[in-house]
Amino acid sequence: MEIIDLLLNGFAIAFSIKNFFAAALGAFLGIMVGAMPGIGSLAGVALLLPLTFKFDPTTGMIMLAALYYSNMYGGAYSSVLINIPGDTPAVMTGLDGHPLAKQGRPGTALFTSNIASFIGGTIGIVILTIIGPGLARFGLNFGPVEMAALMAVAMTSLGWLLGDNPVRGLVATLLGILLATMGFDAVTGLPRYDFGSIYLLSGIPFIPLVVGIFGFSQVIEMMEQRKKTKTFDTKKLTLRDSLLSRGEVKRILPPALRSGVLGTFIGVIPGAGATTGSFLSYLMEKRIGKDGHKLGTGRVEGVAAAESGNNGAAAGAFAPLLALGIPGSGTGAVLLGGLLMYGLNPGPRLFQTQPEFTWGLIASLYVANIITLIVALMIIPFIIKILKVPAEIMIPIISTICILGSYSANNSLYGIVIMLAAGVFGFFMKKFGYPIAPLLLAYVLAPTMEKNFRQALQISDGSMLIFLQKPISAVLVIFLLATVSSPLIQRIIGRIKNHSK
Amino acid sequence: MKRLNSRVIFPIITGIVGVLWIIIGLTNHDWWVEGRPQSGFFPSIVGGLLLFISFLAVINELKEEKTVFLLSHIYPVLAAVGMVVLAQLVGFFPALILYVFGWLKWFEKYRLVFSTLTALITGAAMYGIFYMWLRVPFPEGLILKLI
Repeated sequence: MEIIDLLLNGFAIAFSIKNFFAAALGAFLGIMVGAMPGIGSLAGVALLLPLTFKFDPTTGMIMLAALYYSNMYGGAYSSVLINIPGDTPAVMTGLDGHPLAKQGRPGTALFTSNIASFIGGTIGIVILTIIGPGLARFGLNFGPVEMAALMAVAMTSLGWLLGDNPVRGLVATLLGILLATMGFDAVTGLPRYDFGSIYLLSGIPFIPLVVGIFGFSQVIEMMEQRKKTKTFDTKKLTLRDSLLSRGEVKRILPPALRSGVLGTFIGVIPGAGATTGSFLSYLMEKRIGKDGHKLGTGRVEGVAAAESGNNGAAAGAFAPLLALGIPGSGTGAVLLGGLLMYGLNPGPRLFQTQPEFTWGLIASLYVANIITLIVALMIIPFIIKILKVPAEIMIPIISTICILGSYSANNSLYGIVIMLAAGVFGFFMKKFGYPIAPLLLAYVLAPTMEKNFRQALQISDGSMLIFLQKPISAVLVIFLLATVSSPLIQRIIGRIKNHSK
Repeated sequence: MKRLNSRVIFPIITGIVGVLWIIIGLTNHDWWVEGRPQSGFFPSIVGGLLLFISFLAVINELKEEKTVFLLSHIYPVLAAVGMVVLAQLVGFFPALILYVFGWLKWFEKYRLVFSTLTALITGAAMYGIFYMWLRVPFPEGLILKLI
């Protein structure tokens, strides 16, 4: 009862007019920055954090929560509309969101994305409210052994994303892993695969890579359609046609609900992050969803799963942040800095020592999620008009966004060089039918997998049995083996059945 | 004999990358010391896998249709490189405006007024977002520095 009282008190504070407008401003700016290719949620929250210091702590905290959430919402906009993910988790959203936009339904894709984000975020916050401290302890059970096993499951699951030609998908995945090995070795700190270049010492920067491989490759591809009168079917670019039908609402609810729960649990694992949450949620939908095999062709279920998983993970990341003082991601670290500046000292005793502040923050998350949804839905009618712009005008405009976005990633021309090279490379990949998403996801997940795998083997003095000695990793390894061997087992069973007939 | 199509180039390149990663992993870095995997272990194993899968991909691609490329595919790359070079002289935002204007006016044959307005609006929007709001320090350009 005490929790409910504190939460209701938090709501009473959060719903004042001043706080409402602060949250709305935070939501609007957060969506804009989140949608900006090359900025992403980490840089977005960091850039906008100083704005919150102009307000009193409560208002600042609400604005901070709105900024955090809206950055997650915003990443999907550019991914759906121009196929350039605003941040890493939005890579998964674009797999179905952009094909939907190409079919002339960008509004539907964005509505789905926003509503699923809201559902995922709400599930995450509700779970955080009920079992926040316990959830944080669950996350702490994931040491190097468990993380390596989880990442191995994620990597193997890339097979579900590989599309029609598994060989091409595997080439893309392995190439992504190799690109991720360039730069400093995360375990020893020694440089490797830098080819004598000081620029490659810290590896290939991710933002120019993603902007180039998705965005600039798209520009090169658009040269084929620039003289066509319409790039996309723009007949349905009205608010009314963007709304979801009752059937579509029924289709998105199950993936959004289960992905929200999965995403929350992924989010509490330190280092797993929203990308893993969005990725595993999409894969789960592909595997168990009613029309899972159709994902990737412009299905609302795909958009819903990715966005709900992403926002569930974003909310789940608050559990270790508040209860243990451990940020689950770079964005979490920036948030932690912001909370410390407001006098909130996250840690194991936070829920007991500073209940007003903690529950106030949790109430702010609810409010921020609602306000971000309202702002995000209000933007849709204006933002979808972007698709009415002909390809021949879009080419120089998207090119400039790619150039400025990749430069701003590390304020260096090197970013532009990487972006251009990645753009040309991505174009060839697309032309030859190699999927891009597995390459990028492998690039993101591989360092975590390698680091944890090697640390696990260091702990066990090189014995692989350690993966079977810990309960969580043993379950994951069994799941992994079952997943890998299931096609073979199915084939054998099929043959036995045919033979017996 | 059937002619090789351009599709095989991609897996051949990825196969070469795989070989390179194996060689560097085995020669420049430690592999396994005192029962523990080192820097070269993971990359060279993945390199080996990539080499094997690339070989399968080459066989796969031989059966596929040829891919068609247009000369115009290279134009956005050349234009972007040109813009970056121009940016070193006149600064980022003037170069951006000139690039958008030039593309629309001379390449796409739009009217002067439309091209100018689109270039100025794009330049102003980018300046407002990236320079004024996000405070990204773009280089000024050689000419401005000399002035």
